[in-house]
Formats: sequence, C-alpha cells, structure tokens
Amino acid sequence: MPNISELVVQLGSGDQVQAYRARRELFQIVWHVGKPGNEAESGQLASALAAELASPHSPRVRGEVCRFLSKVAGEAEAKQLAAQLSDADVREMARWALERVPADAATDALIESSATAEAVEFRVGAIGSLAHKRGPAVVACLASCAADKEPEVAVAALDALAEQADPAGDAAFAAAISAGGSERTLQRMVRARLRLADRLVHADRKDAAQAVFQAIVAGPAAPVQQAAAQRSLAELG
Amino acid sequence: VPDHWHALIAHYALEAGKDVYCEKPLTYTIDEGKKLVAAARRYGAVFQTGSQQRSDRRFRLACELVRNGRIGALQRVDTHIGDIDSGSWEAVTAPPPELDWNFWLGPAPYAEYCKNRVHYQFRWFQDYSGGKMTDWGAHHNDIAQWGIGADGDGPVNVEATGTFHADGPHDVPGTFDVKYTYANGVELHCHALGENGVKFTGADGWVFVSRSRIELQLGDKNWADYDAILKVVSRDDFATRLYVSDHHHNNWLDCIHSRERPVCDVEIGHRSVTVCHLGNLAIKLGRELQWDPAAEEFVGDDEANRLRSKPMRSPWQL
Repeated sequence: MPNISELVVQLGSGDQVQAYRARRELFQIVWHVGKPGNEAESGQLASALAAELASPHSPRVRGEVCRFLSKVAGEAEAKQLAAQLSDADVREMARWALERVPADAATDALIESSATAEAVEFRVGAIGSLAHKRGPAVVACLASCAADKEPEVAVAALDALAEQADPAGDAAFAAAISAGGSERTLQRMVRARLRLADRLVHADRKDAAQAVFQAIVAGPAAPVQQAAAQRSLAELG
Repeated sequence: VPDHWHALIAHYALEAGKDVYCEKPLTYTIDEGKKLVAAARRYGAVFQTGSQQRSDRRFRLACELVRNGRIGALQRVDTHIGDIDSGSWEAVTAPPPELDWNFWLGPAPYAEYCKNRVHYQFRWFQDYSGGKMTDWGAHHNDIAQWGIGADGDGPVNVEATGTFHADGPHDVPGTFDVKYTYANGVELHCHALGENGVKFTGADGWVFVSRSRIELQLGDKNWADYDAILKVVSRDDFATRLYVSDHHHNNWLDCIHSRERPVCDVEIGHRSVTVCHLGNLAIKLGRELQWDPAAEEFVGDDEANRLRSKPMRSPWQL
C-alpha cells in the first residue's frame, strides 16, 4: 500500500499542484480498494486514513481525510470520525462522512449530535444525515427533535422522519402541526408529511399511507398539498 | 445554476406546486433523480428535462429508423461526447462582491474561491458536476436510450476506462471509453473522442446523427441528408412512431396546458443521466459494475452503492 501518511501530508501543501496530485492519488486508491472481496485491504486503508485524524494536520486536511473515509470506513473508523464531531473546524466533514458510513457507531454519533449540538445549522445537518439511517433509535430521536422549539430543527426532523417510512412516525407530524407555527413552517411540515405518505405507498404500507393522506386533507395544508393528497387518495382507491 | 444545485432547486419548485423545466444534466447523483421523479409524480407536475435533442427532427428520425428495424436488429450504439483539457491553476482570491460564494457552493464541500470554478468551468470539477460525461452525455446518451427503447430502463452492465489529468486542476475524467450492455444484448459505447454525435449500428446498416447532420447507410447505399432519407424510407410504414416535439420549450408550455407528459419527462431525464452517472462511477471505481435498472442499485457491490448518493453540506438536504 502506498504511504498514506506521506500523501496526507502532501494534501496540506501550499503548492496547489502537489496537493492536487496527492488528492488524485488518494481518490484513486480509495475508489479502487473497495471492490467486493477486497475487504481486508479496504480495512487496512480505512485504518490508515483514520489514524491520520489523530495527527496534527490542518482542519482542511482532516476534513479531506474524512471525505476519503466516507467511502471505506467501517465500524472502527466511524468511532474515530465521531470523535471529530467535537472539533468545530472539522465536524462538518465528519458528519458528511458519517452519513455515508454503514455502521452503528455512525448512527449513534449522528443521533447524539442531533440531540445535543449547539449550532442550529450543524444540528440540522446531523438530523438530515439521519434520513439515511434506519432503526427505532433513529425514529425516536427524530420524533423528539420534531418537537424542538427551533423551527429549522423541527422541520429537518420531520423531513428525515419521512424517509423512515414508519407509520409510527406520523404521530410526530400530527403533534408538530397541531402545535402550530408560521405559515411557511406549517407548509414545510406538511410537505414532509406528504413525503412520508409517499414512502409508505412505496413500502407497500397502503393502509397507513391512506391514513396519512387523509390527515393531510383534514389538516392545515396549502391548496397544492391538499391536491397532492387528494390525487394520491384517488390513486389508492 | 451549476449541476450540483439542479435537483435541490427543482425539488423545491415541485414542492411549491410548480411545473418545472430543468436543464440537463438533470441531477448530480443517481438518488437525486429518484427523488425528483417521486416528487414530480406526487405533485402531478409537468417536468421537462432540458435534453433538447428530443425535440430535433433529425434525432427523432434516427431513433425511429432504429426502433422500426430499418437498419436491421440493433447491435451497437456509439456516442462521442468530447474530452476536456487539464485547465490552468488560478490563485485563490476573495470572491467578487456580487457573488455569495458560500451560497454558490451550497451543498458542495467548502472550497476556497478561484475564478475558474464558476460559470461554464464548474463542469470540470467533480464537486459540482460529472464533466463531459454528464454535460454532453446527457444529450447523446439520452438519444441512445431513446433509440434503444430504454426509457424508464437502463443497462445491466458497465465497464470503463478513463484518464484523469495528472496535475489538475480539472479533476473529472479527461478521456474515457465506457461500454454499457443492455439486457437485450445491445451495447452502448460512450467515447470521449471521435466526431460528436450518435451512431446506431444494426445488422443491415447504420445511422449517424448529430446536431448538424444525419446519415444513413444500408448495404452499399448511403443517404446523407434528412430529406433524402425520407424519400427512401416512408414514415407511414413505421409501426413505432416516437413522440413528436419540434420545440422543447414550447412542448413544455403546451403540456402545462394539456397536463400531458412532455417529450423528455423527468423519469426519462433521470434514466438518461443515470447512464452517465454509471459511466463516471465505473471509470472511478475501475471495475465492471452490475446494475439492476428495476431496483436502481448495483448488484453485490456495497461500495458502488454508497456512491449512488452524496452527502450535502449543512444545512442542505434533499
């Protein structure tokens, strides 16, 4: 395997061409190592890259390392990525990578950030990443965030909840919408609820979808949302 | 609007109840396209993808010749879509005062501003686009899909070779040759080099079409003109007639009134640019990929499936 540490050092070079060459080579390595049946070598690479997160590289370089890790990291590296979430200069790319990594540690870290991060924008990002994760803990976290007093957090949580295609999630929509908010916020919540119903249709949960569509029709939805729900109900018969 | 913004903006418009005309390439990732199709259907939107060659009579005729067996059983399609140079490095500077650089980047990873990253040149940076493959591929591979009869479908196997510029800054594939195989055995070969256009080759001849010309060869006979071809091939005999649109924007406007689907509906645009995304992924991953066009996922390749979508920078999400 090429010298990963050396390439990562070169990523931080002030010479644009040298940094580009290192990035190009690292991309090439990462793309090619992940082929089926090559798990051992892929794991070694992930481990080598993750070790660089503990080295005193600049935040930009560590962010780039997170990005490479998004393609090859597993459970062990997800924990090292999660550790970067406490660094305000790197956490965005760590969150970015964790979204892609199929590991319980990635999901756990995103749940924690969704619940506890102070910066609203970053919290919204972490919640958005949970749209790509599944499981009861994810649904519970998102349902809790949907009740947050910060509208951006609540809407992001409903958006992510819609992707879960879990009928139980609709209770959080009903509660958030009945709690009220600005017209814009309510419309965004209903848009997400329409997506939930749509996902339920595609998950072959048609009875549950029908109930959600009916709730939308009966609730404070914009005309275009009412029409979408009515059309879907007609299609469901 | 750079390519990495297309899906987000189109999705916002759909959720606001708008009909949408979205320039090609429709999307930046495969999963974005799936979400656009779902949203367009959810809101009953009229959605035209800006692959305007579908509204050009030459491309339509070429595809009708193929679909009606006039060149014999279709065996192979070749698309030639161009290569790109390496570009030149520019100094990192402050963005001009009229540009909100952070907003321009939007869902893309943060990068310092250089003047060659914006305007037309964004196409050659993988954080914002898929290079020539999605730029011209969204035109010519779209025509290949039309001629093959693969709208709503796609290839089942992808193999590719490609090169990247060693010293940058352009970091998308510079040259490439991609071979797609469809379930019916037809091969689509997408090349960077060669005369820009699409060539369909069948058992009895071939037809080449580009924005400037159409040429039909059957046995030792050749016709190199639209009208000349129609003198020897009567459309009245075609069992398969393709959607007639002679003006891409007007077709969209007409459909807004009629509520019918336009000639390059969102799913067509999504499936065509998926062909392009598959090519880019095969070039990057350097291995043969099996694709399930019904499930829209790679078969037995977890890493490739990770790359069907791309995370977005906070607070953007689709």
